[in-house]
Amino acid sequence: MEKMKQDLLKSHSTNSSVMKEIKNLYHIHKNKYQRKIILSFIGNMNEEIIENILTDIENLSIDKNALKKIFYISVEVLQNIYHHNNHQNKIFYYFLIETSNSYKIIAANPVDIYTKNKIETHLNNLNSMEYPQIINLYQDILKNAKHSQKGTVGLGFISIKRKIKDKLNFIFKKIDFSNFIFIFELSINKSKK
Amino acid sequence: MKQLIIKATSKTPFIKFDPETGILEIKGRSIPENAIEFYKPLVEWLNEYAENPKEKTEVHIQLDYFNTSSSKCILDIFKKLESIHKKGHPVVIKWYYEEDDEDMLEAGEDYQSILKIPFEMIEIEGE
Repeated sequence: MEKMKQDLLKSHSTNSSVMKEIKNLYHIHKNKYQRKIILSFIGNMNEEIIENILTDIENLSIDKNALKKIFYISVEVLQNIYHHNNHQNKIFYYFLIETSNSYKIIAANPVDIYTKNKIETHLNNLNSMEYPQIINLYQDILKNAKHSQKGTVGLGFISIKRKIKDKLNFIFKKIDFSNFIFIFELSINKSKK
Repeated sequence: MKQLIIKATSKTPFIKFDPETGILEIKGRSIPENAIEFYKPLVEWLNEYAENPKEKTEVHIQLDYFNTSSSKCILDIFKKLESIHKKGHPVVIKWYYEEDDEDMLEAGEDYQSILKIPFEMIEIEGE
């Protein structure tokens, strides 16, 4: 009984640290980009929220090719968080930002240490690969992978890397030994098709 | 066999398969969170169709977007069609993509490189 109480208190304390940190990071990004922000959202992840964000993206009056890439990448980023965030806290944030030469997508969500290590290894591996290797990897997984129970196939990050043809920027902000905030930052060059 | 018709939604494509003509149409976007559930009726329908297919089967596929969950389901559907093709009932896949949509052309080429089935890449004007 005492242990249960302690676990509950610990979980409550972790949750409040996660909330505090993610809200803090959200405001840092908001202040940094201010008027350059086209869309922003902070809240709990669910299917309806994904649909709302995607509808907002679709209604933007921007170049069609850029819009397609933003839409596609946002689908994968948001559905990645939806499917793979095993953290007890489902809060996340999303920004779409326009700079003079690119569109930037920033997404952040809490992850446990196991997920952090897995994502970090995967993204570092993708960043070390040349474009033809990424295509080969994509086709190999498409051909051989099986769907998970959630309907995923492990192609999300690879397809993002393939689409943006650039480095996948990410950091993990440490909250405590076992909890981190995963901040994923992607740039879509305006001149790229 | 009856016609298979699935209406489009904001996350899933329009699907029509007419067993009389052997024409399968898939059009729209395919971004459901779990694509397996969505494509299940088409897979089941194809399993039945494969037992007694038309002399020639044509697939017209025109997608604006599809997520990675859908990409695997689409491959599974194509593999089923490939097995029909290999049994002597020709199948052709007509992959439509909007002009300048390099990503969608590449996606079609991915399938073309994996499968041993005729593909036609057809460029169409953007809407």
